[in-house]
Amino acid sequence: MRYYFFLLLVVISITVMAQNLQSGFLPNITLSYKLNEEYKLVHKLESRWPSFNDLDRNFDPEFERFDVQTYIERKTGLFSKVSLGYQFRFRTQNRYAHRTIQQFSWTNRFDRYRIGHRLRSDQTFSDDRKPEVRFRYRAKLQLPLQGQSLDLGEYYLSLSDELVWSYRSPNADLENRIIANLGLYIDDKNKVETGFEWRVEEFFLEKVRHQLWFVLSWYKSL
Amino acid sequence: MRFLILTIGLLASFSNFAQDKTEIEKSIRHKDVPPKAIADLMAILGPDHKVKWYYQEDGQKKVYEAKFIWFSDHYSVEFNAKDAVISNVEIELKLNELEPKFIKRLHKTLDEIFVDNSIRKIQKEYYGKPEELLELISTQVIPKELSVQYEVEVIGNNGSKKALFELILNKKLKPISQRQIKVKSSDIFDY
Repeated sequence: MRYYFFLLLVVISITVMAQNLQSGFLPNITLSYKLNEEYKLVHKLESRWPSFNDLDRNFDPEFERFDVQTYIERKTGLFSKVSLGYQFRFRTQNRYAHRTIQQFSWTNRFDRYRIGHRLRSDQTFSDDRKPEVRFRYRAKLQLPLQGQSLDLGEYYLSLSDELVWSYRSPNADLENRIIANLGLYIDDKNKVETGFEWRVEEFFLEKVRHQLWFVLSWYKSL
Repeated sequence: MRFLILTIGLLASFSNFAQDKTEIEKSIRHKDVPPKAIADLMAILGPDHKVKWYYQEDGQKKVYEAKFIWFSDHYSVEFNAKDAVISNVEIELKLNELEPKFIKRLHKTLDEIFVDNSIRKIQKEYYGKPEELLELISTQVIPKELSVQYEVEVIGNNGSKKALFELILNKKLKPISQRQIKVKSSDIFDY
């Protein structure tokens, strides 16, 4: 547990010092349903609530967008799977966006921890902006905090780093996302995670932008 | 801040809800380990040797478990919680260092159970009198009186499906028991 608070402190310190900052809340819920031994259906609902930026320095949570994602997932091995997904994004002022998603993910099991890898590509289409394509890779570590393996009712630490390359004519961009979460493994059908996601984007432009999101996630299998 | 407090409260209440379980396995500090177990082990390893201690309870037995590296091998040593007496020693075997003859016999056993298989991990387990188990750690020479069995983790296809299995094999590599290991959901890694 002390590792988690140390990491939390590091993330907060870095971000407080950062310029060009936006922060807020990012609650989400992931619902999955096993169709058979090979296929699974997954829905993810996520909303974003920007609450603070370094320009006006006022705390004022405001709804920005709501995403509904649906995936069909197929096992390709004992520890790997491919997924195809679609996302509908609802933004303020009745603006919408559609996204198609393709991903391949696999997990490495070690005695004490697991590392999950995710390769993803997506394409976003909307009326008010040009199409965007992205290629992403994420590595996520899950480390039990109360023993050598993760058992029911125990806490874990999850740390992840994701690199996102995107292109929307005429510009390309690179973004990095670091997430430090404290998780609770209630059982294999219920996991709750909370923590911070720190995004650094527009690496290819003169001034990078920082985003810090307070994340609350619930993974529920039906 | 109110949101943060609410979130932590929510997480804590989930935690209380999840406490209904029969298996306990937790990391513990040196000061919480029976002095006899520490004394017996440290007399061999030396007082400064790095050892991780765990407490396990599965409804049938309660043990303290020490994990450490000793002469490049990964050891796992169990002590009864009741009297802090050593009860077994497990040593992880390196797959690339196993004798060809042993590997051939092991594959023969696995091929009789699975259509195809791949070994992920193998441990040699020793049971016997406490003084002989301690002698094993101390000298790395196996006293003849100790009982031996192997714990093998295998990805195998048993004809109906491919899954992760744990096999207990006797000294002659004949199967004693077999169970399927449930692979934990990986949704937190995928979405």
